[in-house]
Amino acid sequence: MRINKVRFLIELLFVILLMGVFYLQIIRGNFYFSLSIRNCVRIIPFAGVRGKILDRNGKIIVDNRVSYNISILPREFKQNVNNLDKLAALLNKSASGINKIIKKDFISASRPIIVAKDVDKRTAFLIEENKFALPAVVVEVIPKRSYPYHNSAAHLLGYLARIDRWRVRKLKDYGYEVKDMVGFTGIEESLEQVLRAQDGGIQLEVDHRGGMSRVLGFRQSRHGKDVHLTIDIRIQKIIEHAFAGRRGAVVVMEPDSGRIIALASFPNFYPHMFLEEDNSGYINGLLTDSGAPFMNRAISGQYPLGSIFKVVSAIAALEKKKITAEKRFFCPGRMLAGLKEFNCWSTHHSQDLLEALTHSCNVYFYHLALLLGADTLSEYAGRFGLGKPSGIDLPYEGQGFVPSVLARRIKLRNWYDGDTANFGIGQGDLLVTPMQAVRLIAAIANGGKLVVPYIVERIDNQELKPKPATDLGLDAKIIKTVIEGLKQVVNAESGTANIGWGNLKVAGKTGTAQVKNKLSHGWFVGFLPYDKPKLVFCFFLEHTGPSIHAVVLAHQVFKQLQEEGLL
Amino acid sequence: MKTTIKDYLIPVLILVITSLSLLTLYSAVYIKGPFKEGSVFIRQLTWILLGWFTYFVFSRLSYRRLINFIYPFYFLVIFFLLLVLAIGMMRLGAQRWIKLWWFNFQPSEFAKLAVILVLSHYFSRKSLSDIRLDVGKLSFGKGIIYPFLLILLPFGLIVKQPDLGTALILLFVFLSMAYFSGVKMRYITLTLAAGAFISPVFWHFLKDYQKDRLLVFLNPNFDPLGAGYTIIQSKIAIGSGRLFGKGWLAGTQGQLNFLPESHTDFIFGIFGEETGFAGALLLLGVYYLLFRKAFAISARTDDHFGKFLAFAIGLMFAMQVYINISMTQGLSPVVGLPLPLMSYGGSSMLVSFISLGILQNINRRRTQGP
Repeated sequence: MRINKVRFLIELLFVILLMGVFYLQIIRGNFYFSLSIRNCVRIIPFAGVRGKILDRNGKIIVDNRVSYNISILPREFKQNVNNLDKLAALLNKSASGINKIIKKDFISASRPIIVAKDVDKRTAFLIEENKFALPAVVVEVIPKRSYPYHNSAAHLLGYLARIDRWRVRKLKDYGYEVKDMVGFTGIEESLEQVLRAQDGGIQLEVDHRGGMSRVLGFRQSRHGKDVHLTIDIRIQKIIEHAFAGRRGAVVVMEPDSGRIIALASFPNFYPHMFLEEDNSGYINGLLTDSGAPFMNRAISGQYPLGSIFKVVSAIAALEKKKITAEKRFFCPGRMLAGLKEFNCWSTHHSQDLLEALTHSCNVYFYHLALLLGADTLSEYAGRFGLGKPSGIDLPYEGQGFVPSVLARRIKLRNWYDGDTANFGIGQGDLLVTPMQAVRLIAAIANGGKLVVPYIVERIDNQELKPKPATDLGLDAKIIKTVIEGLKQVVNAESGTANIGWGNLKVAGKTGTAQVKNKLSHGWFVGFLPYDKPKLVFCFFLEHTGPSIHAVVLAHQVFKQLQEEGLL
Repeated sequence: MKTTIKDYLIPVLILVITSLSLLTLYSAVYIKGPFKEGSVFIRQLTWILLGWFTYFVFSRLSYRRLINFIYPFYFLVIFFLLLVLAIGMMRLGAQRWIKLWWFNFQPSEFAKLAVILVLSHYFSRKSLSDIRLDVGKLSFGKGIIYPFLLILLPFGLIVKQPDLGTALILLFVFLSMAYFSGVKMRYITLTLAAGAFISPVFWHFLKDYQKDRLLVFLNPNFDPLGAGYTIIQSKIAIGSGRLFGKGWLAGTQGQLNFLPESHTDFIFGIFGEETGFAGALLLLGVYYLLFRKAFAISARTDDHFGKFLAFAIGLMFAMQVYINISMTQGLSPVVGLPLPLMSYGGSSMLVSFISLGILQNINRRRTQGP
C-alpha cells in the first residue's frame, strides 16, 4: 500500500530528527554545555550610515554627523556593583536613571545596551580613557541624522524616530528590532528600505574575563543609498520664508514632467527634535497644537476648491458644446436654482466666458452647471484627477472627494439643482488636496496631459522611471480659450488676481472657498510664463479670508525668485 | 457495523504535549513573571482551554457534515488571506496576521486546514468509482493539474505573504495526497522535476531577508547577527541540555534571552535545554505516536473522505514537527513555522486542536473492519 511508503518516509524524517538531537546533545553535548555556561557569545556592532537626502542641485538636505553613544555589556556590567556608580559619575547622571534604561532596553545578555546617546566628545574620550576601570562600558561611534535646513521641507522629508510597537511587529521579518530608528512619514518612511543602512558586526566567543577567544562570525555593515529629490531647496526656502507663520500649503511643479520643485506645508516642525532624548515637551506641543503641524497639507489636506473648479466647468461646457466662448449670460448678482437663491459676489451684468473667468462670476457658472448636469461635472472632475490620489511618491496622500448624485443617493439623501449649481463653482461637498489642484492646472498648462507628480529623481545613480501621464484628449482650441481666460484673471484690468505683476508672465485662477462659521480658504493656482509654461503652482491659505492673500503671497514669492534668478 | 469506538489515545497525547508546552512557556517567561497580566503563559493557557473546547466540538460533530462547509470555509480563508495581503501592501511591506479584537489572527494557519479539507474532498470524490484506491486511474490532469489549480489561490497568497514554510508543507501534502490517491509515480516525479526546474525563477521573487535566511542555512556565518545568530544560539541551547537537561526553570540560554523567539518558533530550544535528550526523546515519541495513530486511522477507514482527511492531518502534523525541529537544530532553513501544540500562538493552537478533533471523530465513526 502506498500509505505505508509515505509512513516510511515520515519515519525516516523522525529518525533524522532523533539523530540530530542525539548529535547535538549526546555527542557534542559537552561542547555546547561549556559554551552555554560561559555565556560567551558577544556581539560588537558596526553601524552603517543611513542614506542622505539631496535636492536637485546636489545640496544635502538631510545629512549624517558623527555622534558618540555610551553602551554597556549587560552581563559583564552586572558582575561588579561599583560599575554603575562609576559610570554614573562619568556621565553625570543618576545611577537609578541608568539602571532604568538598562532594564528597559535589554534585548539579550550578549547585546550592548545604549545608556547615553550623543554625548559630547569630552565625555566620550573620558570614558575611553577609563577603559581599564570600566571594561564593560563601550564607546560607540554612531552616525546621526542632521538637518542643515532645519524646518525646511520637514513634511516631505519625514523624520527619524525610535520604532513603535506596531512597526516592530510588522517589520520584524525584515530584521528590525525594538530599539531601531525608522523613518516616519515623508521620504524617510516611503524609502525606508532604501535609505536604511544595514548594521554589521562581529560575533565573538569570549573567555570568562571578557577576552576574545575566537570569532564566530562577521558581517560587513552596509550603507544606505542616497536619495536625490526633484526639490530645489532654494525655492523651498523662499516659499517657507514668505509664508510667515500662516497655515496652508504650496506646491510648485514642472507641468510637463510632474517633477515637484517645492512642496511646503505650514505649520511645520523640526525633524531633529525626534532624535533628542528629552523631546517629550516639544513633541507633545506638536501633537496638541490646533494647527496640526504633522499633517502634510499639500498632499493630505482636503479642502473645498472654490472657484478654481470653474476651469473644469468651462472646459466641460465647451467640450460638450453646451456653449461657445462667445455665449453671454446676464449676472444680476444672484440667481434662482431650484427653489433656492444663489448669490454672486458682485453684480457683473452681461458676461461672456472669458469675462466670467476673469471676474470669477458665479452666476455664469451656475448657468453652465445647470446646462451640464451633475453627472457631467462629476465625470470631468474625475478626468482631471480629482477624487483620487495623484500617485505622488509620498505616503499618506489624501484622495479628496468628488460629489455625485450616486454618492448622495447611497447616503439616502436627495440631490437638488442647487447642488448642481454649487458644484459648478466648486462649493458644496467637493474636496481637493493642493496636490490635486496643481495637477489639474498642470493639465491645462501642458495642453491636456494629466501627469503623475513625483519627488524622487534617483536613488544613488539609479534613475527612477516616472509614471506615464494620461492624455485627456482635450481639444487644443478649448485649452487655448481657457488659458486666455486664465491670462486675463492675472493681467486684465478687472482680473481677480491683478495686483501688478510687472514682467512676470503669470496666468492663473483664484478661488475663495467658503467655510461655515470660519474664515474662507484662499487659493491661487496657475502657471508661468503663460506662453511657454515652465512652472505650475498652487498657493493655498487655510482660513485666512479671500483669495487675494494667496495671490499676494504668490506675487511675493515669484518676485523674489525672479530677483534671485531662480525662474 | 458502525459503532462508536472508545479510544482515548489522541486526547491523552494532546494532553501530554500541551502540558509540556505550558511547562516550557512557564520557564521561558519565568524571569518576566508568568502570571503577569497579558503574559504569554496565561495567554497560551487560555488558547489551550479554548482549543479543548473546539476539540470536543469537532470530535463529536460528524466529519461527513463538514463537507457542506468546506467551500464556504475555503473562500472565507481566501478572503482573509487577501485581506492580510491588502493590509500588508498598504504600508511597510508584508505581514502575516490581522489584528482581530485582542489577538493576531493568522489566516495562513487556517489555510492549511482549508487546503487539506478541499483536497480530501476532491480526491475522495475522484476515486468514488474505484473500489480500491491504489489502482492508479487518475490522469496527469485529474491527479495533479486540477487539484493544484484548486489550491493555487491560497497557495499563491501564502507564497506572496511570504510564508515559505507553510507553502512548502502544503506542496508536500498535496503531492503525498495525489500519490496516496493512486496517481502514477512518474507524474509525481515529473511534477517534482518541474518544481526543481522553475525554483531558480522563484529565487528572484524572494525578499532579501528570505534569501538571507536560505543563505544562512548553507552557512550560518553569513549573517551572524540575524538568523545565523538564532541558529547558533538554538544549537547551543539544545546541545547544552545533554542527556537529562539542566532541569526545569534552570535553562540559561532561554532564560537569559540569548535565544530569540524562544516562546514561538524556537520553543524546542528551551525544551531541549531544560529536559535534555530524555525530554526530546519523549516529545518526539509522542509526536510520532500521534502521527502513527493518524495513519492507522486512515488505513482502517473505509470512507474515502475520512481516509484522505486522516492521512492529510497526520502528514501535516508530522511535516510541521519535522521542519520546525530540524530548523532549530540547524538542519533546515529558518522559515518561521510553529511547533504544533507547543509553540505559543492562538491560530496555530486552534487549528491543531480542530484538526485533531476531526481526526478523533474519524476514529470514532469509522466502520470497524473484521
